[in-house]
Amino acid sequence: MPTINNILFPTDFSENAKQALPYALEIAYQTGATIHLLHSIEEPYDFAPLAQEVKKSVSHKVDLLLQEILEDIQQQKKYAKLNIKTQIQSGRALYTILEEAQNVNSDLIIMGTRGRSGFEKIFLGNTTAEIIEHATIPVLAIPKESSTPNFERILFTTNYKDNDLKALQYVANFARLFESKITVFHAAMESDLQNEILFRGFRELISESIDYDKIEFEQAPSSDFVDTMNQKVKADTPSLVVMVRYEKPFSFFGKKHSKEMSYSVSRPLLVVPSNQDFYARDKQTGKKESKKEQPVKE
Amino acid sequence: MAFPLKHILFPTDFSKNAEHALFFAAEIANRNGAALTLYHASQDTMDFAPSFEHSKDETIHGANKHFDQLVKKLQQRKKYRDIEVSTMLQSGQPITSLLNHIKEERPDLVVMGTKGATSNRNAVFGSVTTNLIQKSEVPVLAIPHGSGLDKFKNILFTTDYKEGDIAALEQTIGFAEFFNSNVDVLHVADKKDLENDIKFRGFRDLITNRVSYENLNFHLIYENDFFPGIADYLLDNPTSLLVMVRYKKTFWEKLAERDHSKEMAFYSNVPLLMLVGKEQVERPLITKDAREEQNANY
Repeated sequence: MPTINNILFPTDFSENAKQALPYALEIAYQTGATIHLLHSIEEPYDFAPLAQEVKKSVSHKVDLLLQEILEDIQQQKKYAKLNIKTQIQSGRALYTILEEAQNVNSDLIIMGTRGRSGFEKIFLGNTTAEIIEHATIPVLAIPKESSTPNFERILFTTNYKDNDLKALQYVANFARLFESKITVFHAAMESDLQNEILFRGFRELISESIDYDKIEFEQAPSSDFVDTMNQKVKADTPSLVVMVRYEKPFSFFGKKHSKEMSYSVSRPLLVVPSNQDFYARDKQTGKKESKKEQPVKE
Repeated sequence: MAFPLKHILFPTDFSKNAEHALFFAAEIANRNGAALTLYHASQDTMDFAPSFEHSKDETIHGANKHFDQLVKKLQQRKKYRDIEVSTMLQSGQPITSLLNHIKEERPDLVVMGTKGATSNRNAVFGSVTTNLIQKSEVPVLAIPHGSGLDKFKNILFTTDYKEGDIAALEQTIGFAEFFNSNVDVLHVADKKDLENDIKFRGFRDLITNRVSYENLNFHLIYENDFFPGIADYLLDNPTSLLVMVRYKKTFWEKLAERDHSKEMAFYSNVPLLMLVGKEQVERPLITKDAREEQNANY
């Protein structure tokens, strides 16, 4: 099971990014992970006569802004000892972020998100939503309205699909750091025996394979996943919503769903991958399992 | 099928096959304290035949003689002497008469003998049994000629997790209690994945929360196709009674479409109890964790 060693924090120096930073700091503080601050310089003027000049001055400015962030962090006693690196990349944010995530062997991307706004969505795009759609590692999206980081109550949405157990193990490892309560939630399209035995069976499997006692199970009838989730989030106001991002297009929570959710859910949203490769990571690199990780019963 | 059974119907054509099944019927009747009706339908007598009266008398006389022999055979065994036995002779086409009789009298169980393994796959069960298995409104127990009476030591209940399977399994356990049988619940899944794993767990959880029976075990095997899967299972696990639940498309119709003599041979040597599955009903959705019910599992 992967542990959090490297957090990639892309920033565009916006208010959103600023609000998301405390989440990165708090998680890094609890896990001992390194934070990689990244700014991507998008260059629409490569062909302009003064491209080199412009680039230089932009780089310089970005450098200063990154230094400012570092200084701000230094001033917070709690976080002063965190290991923080900075990186500037040029190119379209989507690609540079994904590339940098690989370069620094990142286990988690944390970024601010604008939330649903017609204008921004159409004209500026939403890098976070795109990252969620394309990343193969967990992405934590922090919306504008978020308060100080807390992970007291985690809402984990499941469709009882293949790697949901692994995803939940990952989330449980995260929850242990903050002693969070996890609610495993299923938006049920059907109310029949199949649904009931899936619910019961998943509950049994989880209680046998994840040694964490603050997990509860819930279902709600649903005809539309995003609607149901929005209602649930409104009613429960969880500190963190977790979704598994499935690869297969026929799947109930497709990429579209996680992307859509990133626009509409006004709570921090953690999108975890369903790909086996991610969960097999530690075995591949031969890294030692963190002490914080509980043994998994099979 | 409510236990103890009150009334068992034993249709017979006075053949050896039928006689073999009589002791199964008697054993069940004895343990349940049920009444046993020996039933024969004959269309030998043609109303329009010239010597109709004479022929009719002959048929009645012949049938009564057969009935007497069967009753005598039962009474030779001390333990069967107390069974309340009655006989019934009906004139008419055997299948139609029998189905009508079942409809009117609604016995708790029909027990009948069958040919057992033959080289002709369509003749494993005779036409009467085949019809009965497909159409009877009450449970039918078909006893192949080659099967030994081991007092239903190992009962195999196959399930597809259909709604009606719950009631059918409860009936099977009710039956098993009279013989102190082991009940093995088997599901054949097409592939190994999380969904099949948790469905298996969920069904087991649901059943063990509803009924407590000591000798109840659950098995999951992976096989693309139901029939080879179950044939393999029967090969490795001596089974004295195979229980299936009939829904709209019956097991028998599906089986009849196939040509696997190996499989057929197994089925045809194992007594088969065909229960009538109730159609899908709406289940209330479990919305919250029912903790009190789950204490045992946590």
